Amino acid sequence: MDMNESSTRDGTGRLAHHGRGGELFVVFVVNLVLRIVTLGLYHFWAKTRVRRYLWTQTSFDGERLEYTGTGLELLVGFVKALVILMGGVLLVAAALSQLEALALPLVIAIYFGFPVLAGFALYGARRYRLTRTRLRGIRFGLDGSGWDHGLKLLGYGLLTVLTLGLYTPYMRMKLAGNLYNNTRFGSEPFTFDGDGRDLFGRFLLAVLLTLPTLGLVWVWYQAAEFRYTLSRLRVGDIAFELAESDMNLAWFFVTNALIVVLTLGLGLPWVMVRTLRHLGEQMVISGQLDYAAIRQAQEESEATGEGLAEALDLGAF
Amino acid sequence: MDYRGWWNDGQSAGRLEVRVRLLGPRLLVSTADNDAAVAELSLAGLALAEEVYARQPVRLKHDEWPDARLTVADHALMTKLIAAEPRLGHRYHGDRGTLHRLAIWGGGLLAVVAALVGVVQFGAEPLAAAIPQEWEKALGEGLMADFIEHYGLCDGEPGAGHVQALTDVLASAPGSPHRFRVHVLDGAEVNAFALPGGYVAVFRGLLERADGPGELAGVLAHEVAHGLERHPTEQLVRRSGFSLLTGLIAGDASGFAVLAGDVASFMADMANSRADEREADRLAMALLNDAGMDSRGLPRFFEKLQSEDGDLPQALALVSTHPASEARLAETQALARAGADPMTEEAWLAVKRACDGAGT
Repeated sequence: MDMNESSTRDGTGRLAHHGRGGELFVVFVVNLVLRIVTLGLYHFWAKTRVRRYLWTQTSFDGERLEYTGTGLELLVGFVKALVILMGGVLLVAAALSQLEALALPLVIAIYFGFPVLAGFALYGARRYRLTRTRLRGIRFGLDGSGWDHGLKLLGYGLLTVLTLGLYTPYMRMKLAGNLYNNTRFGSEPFTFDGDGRDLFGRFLLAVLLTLPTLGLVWVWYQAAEFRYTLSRLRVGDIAFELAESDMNLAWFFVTNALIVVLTLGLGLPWVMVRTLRHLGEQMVISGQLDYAAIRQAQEESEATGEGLAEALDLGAF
Repeated sequence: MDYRGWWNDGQSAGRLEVRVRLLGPRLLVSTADNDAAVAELSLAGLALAEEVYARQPVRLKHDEWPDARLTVADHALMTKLIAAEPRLGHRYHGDRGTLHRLAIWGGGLLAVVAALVGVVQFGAEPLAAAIPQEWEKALGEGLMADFIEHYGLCDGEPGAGHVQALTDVLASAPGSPHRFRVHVLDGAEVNAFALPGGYVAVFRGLLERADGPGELAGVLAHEVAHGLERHPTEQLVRRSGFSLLTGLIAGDASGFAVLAGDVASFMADMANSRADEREADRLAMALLNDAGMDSRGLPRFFEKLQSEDGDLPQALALVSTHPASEARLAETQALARAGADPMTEEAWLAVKRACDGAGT
């Protein structure tokens, strides 16, 4: 068996996925049985098990990723998040019962507080997953603060509302920048210099074509944004590019949705695997990492952020 | 025997090509080029980093080196490791194909689901019996209030009172769990139904279709029989059980699981309702006969609905919720006896006018 699973040196194939839909389907069946038997409690372990499969079947420069998170961590994070949320709700209810005049300021506080909380949760979830992801034994990491991300989400969100949505691509690139510029592989930082300006034209086009295409144009925009985001990302000297066009990637997303719908959800494992495989095949990667110079850094984080994201149904993968 | 692999020391992302040897209770790791010792890993502290499937390199970690990883592509090493330390086989699936695993776990899934369906199907009756009567009463009252709000109530007296009086006579059997309360609903459906807690409803359409009080008495006896047997409560328990089960299985909202659950639930419903109907028919005939009433009304009403099926759409309502069959007709006919009229001609005319004031 060839240890160097990336054989080509033209830049494609350095990221590769080796998973099989059938294998992942069995993982889903195992998870389903255990979820039923445990009355749903296995959910957190199930999630972990799927991630472990997808991570380990994905290789970069011939070495597979490793997922080290555990179901117990996710369960504890979820319970903590629930306690925090319930505490918040009880606090608001208690305040209201004491003083009716607080109602309006409280409603305003909740409206402003929710994006901050959501940003905090998403950032925490990202941090949890990155610190549980290893390549060559070295952890990924996310610096920066979740509250800072939440405040940014609120601030850019307000700007977006004030500009009737026109600020959206700028907001999305700024938030992506905050995430990627704080991401590290061990001691090696990621950098991101995407700018909403570069997407604004396509964003306007998508707005104009929303009605004539019954909204389908947004799949194309999503593909374009994804390809653009990737192209502005660096890890050391490494740069990424998707070889295919925006339109091709959009069509790929559409076929994924069709497979899931037409198989009534049974095709989901195949869709997961084929998506990662497709991205690996299309991704052109240039530059080299000086692996020996990359050191282990940053301790693992706790899973409260991920728990909060789950409790708020923010759809973290 | 030497195996080739990679050693990640967990300090830097650089990796070392190594030679791995199984020697007694430990793995010896040394550099591939000049065989210099790198690490000595006791089998007791060794673990797989994740589940290993066919074609996947084996990645090992060790208690004493929490951040380090040893990766070996050749699964022959695993066979030897498992022989020496069976615990390591727990996450190793490289020797069994996908179909093999699917057969095991798919079979397990079917067994678990079948067991739970059995629990819901056969547990509903004892569970329904254990529900306090006050709960059933409150539940039935609430449901009936919804029906009354939707259809409107026919409470024209003395007609409505006569329907209640007839129900009281039929439900006076010893051991009756409830006092039965009957309502006439202002709907055109030729139908009647029973709810938990002894609540029974008859539609205006049925009063209009019935020729004489004997047929009404037959239908009321049938619904009272459902109530005496606690069928409505059982059905409710069973349906909640099935929807809970579907929710549990479809935890991640797979459309297929929801669809399969609904189909199973519907089929169970149909099978149960057929058995319940036959049971209610027999008990209804007994109630009528014990009260000394003419019990020929029920089969006569069935017969009429069957013959009118084709050209009377309203009649379909009773047929769809009360699947009629030749067998039911024959059985009730066999049990039917002549007897007293359920009410006077004058009272019957008042019943027919119970809805005159409603819906205006």
